[in-house]
Amino acid sequence: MPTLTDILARLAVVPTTVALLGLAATAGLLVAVTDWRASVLALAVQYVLSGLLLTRVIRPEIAAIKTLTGAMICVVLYITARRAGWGRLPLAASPDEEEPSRFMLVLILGLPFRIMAALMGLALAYSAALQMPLTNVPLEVSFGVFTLGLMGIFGIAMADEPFKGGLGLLTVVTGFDLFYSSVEQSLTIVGFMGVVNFMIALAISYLATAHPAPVPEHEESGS
Amino acid sequence: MIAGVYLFILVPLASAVVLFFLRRLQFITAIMAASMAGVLGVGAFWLPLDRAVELGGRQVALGEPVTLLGRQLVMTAANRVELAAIFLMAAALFLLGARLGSGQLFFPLGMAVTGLLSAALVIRPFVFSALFLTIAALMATILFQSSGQTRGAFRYLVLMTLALPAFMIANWMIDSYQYNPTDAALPRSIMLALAGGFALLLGVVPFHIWIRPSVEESSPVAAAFVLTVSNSVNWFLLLDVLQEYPWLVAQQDIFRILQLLGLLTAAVGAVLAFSSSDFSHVMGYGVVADYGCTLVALGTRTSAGLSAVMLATVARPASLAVLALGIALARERLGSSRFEKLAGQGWSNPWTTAALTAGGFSLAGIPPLAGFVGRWAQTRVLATAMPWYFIAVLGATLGVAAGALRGMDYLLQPPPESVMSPADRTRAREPRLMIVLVVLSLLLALAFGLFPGMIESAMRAVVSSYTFISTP
Repeated sequence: MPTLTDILARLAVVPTTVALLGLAATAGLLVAVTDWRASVLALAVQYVLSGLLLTRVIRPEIAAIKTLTGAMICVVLYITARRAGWGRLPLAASPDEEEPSRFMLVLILGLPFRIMAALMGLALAYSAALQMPLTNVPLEVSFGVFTLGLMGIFGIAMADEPFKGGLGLLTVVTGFDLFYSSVEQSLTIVGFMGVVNFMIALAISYLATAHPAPVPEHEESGS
Repeated sequence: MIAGVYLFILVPLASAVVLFFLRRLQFITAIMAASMAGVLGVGAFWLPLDRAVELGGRQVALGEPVTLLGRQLVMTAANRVELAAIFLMAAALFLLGARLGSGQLFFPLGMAVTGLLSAALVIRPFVFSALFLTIAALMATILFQSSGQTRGAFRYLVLMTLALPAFMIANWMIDSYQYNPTDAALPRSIMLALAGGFALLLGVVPFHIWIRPSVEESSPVAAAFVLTVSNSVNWFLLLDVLQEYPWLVAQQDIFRILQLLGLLTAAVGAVLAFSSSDFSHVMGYGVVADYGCTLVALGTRTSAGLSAVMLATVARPASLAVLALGIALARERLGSSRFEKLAGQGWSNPWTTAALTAGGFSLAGIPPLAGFVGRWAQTRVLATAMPWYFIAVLGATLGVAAGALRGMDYLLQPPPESVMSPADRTRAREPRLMIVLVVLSLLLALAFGLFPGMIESAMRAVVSSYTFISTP
């Protein structure tokens, strides 16, 4: 059975441009989408893609450890989101009232605004990476760092509850880790960053569980 | 032989595990946590730094440096006083938490956070201190949440986590600077990264946004714990960094930046405290103003300024403990700490009123309470050196005091007319244990205010160990 390192080594043939586009797409999804399943899936893919990018600058074993930590974080967040009931929307005020149409739902959730924000974030990240490339790291890593950093900040700023905001925070930390792993390759730091990432996920899970999930109004009044 | 630093890291962490399993027995866990923290606090003061002593048949050497995973854990003369301060603060808050409904997780998490903060104080280089501080802050996030409201806790989580990259980048640049000492741009970038990191950690404006919602949403004792125990370690880490890199102090005007940030923070805190409509807002913004005044005093780069920082850091827990008691009593008995809800309640709840107003005044720095010690030291330093900054600090005092005074005005309005039976009147009396706690905390705040000399020698030892203030 292939190890995670083998899998990452095989995936390393994926062109850098594809990995970068994937990172931009997943980070954009995290900002634009409110559905928790899509968000957790996007975060998981983001961890794999940042692991792939990391194989260009650090040993594949360490990149594999970081990807594995990311996968564990996604499992924690998946369980939390399921238990906390995220993704349930206050669709109708009462059982008699008609549920909003798909178009109305898109407007209620602010999807157009979120997509605009995500596109703006990507444009900003692209120009920042070209205008102020980070020293000591390749340009593609610079682009990855700026994309994840800016989109994460956008995600935090646009979140109104800890789960979505937490995904933004984890995106920022992943972006920073991409940069810092390129310049400082101490194993102790790798270990500590893993602990910090995992603790962030646990804190987000705790807050998401404590935060009241949106409940349809008719269920609320019925209980 | 046991290295003393292990005692202050591993014992709290191990006892946190025990306390977690006993968390349902809240009173017992509170007493255990307070005793453990108290013993460690006294031990940090009492154990000699330069030689080993026998404790329970084992040799304990407090000053023995230890290497763990290639990193050094060293206890300096300043560290021991700082450790004693954080453990004694934690012990006092654990005792208050026994009665104030601070939640089952307060004691185990509080102990674990204190252990991690101890590690942050003694580990070198400072990037590991930043990592331990972040892990401690992530644990403290859980302390902040008690009522299903998560705004303050989430903001705290985000801002404390964002401080970590700033410190890690600063550390990387410091390493680079050692190889390229001629690079003129690096020290400036290092200074900016460090200033940004500390601004996030210390809750400087505009990164103060977690403080007010946290105080509002969490148990007042848990809020006081994070605002004093956790925050004081951030201050100590700032002093340690300035001490460790004297070239940073000599080449870059980091003190000027800190002072300007402090000025802004003090002004914003004072204005917001003045316009408060809730005692928890007075607490939150009063702390912001206090942090600002302390930064302004540190910016003078004198030993008197550093003494003022230390006095404010030690006095703050006493002020916050009194105010937290008052807020907890008001929430428990009257359902809210909002001014309008407390209108006229001062006559029937005299001890709640005393704790709320005295706590507010102490936080503002009004004599003869604990907060006055720090504020008086700050104003004395600034009055001669920087008169304009002196006016700003005075303004901060008046702003916070006015906020507390407005609350007192509501409390002392004519009482609502109601016909109460003697049995109702007995039930409406404040609980005796709470009265005892209020009296004790008020006495402590008064003792600090009237006899600051009792902590003077310890403060002098800490101040003399920091030499960066005399660097030309």
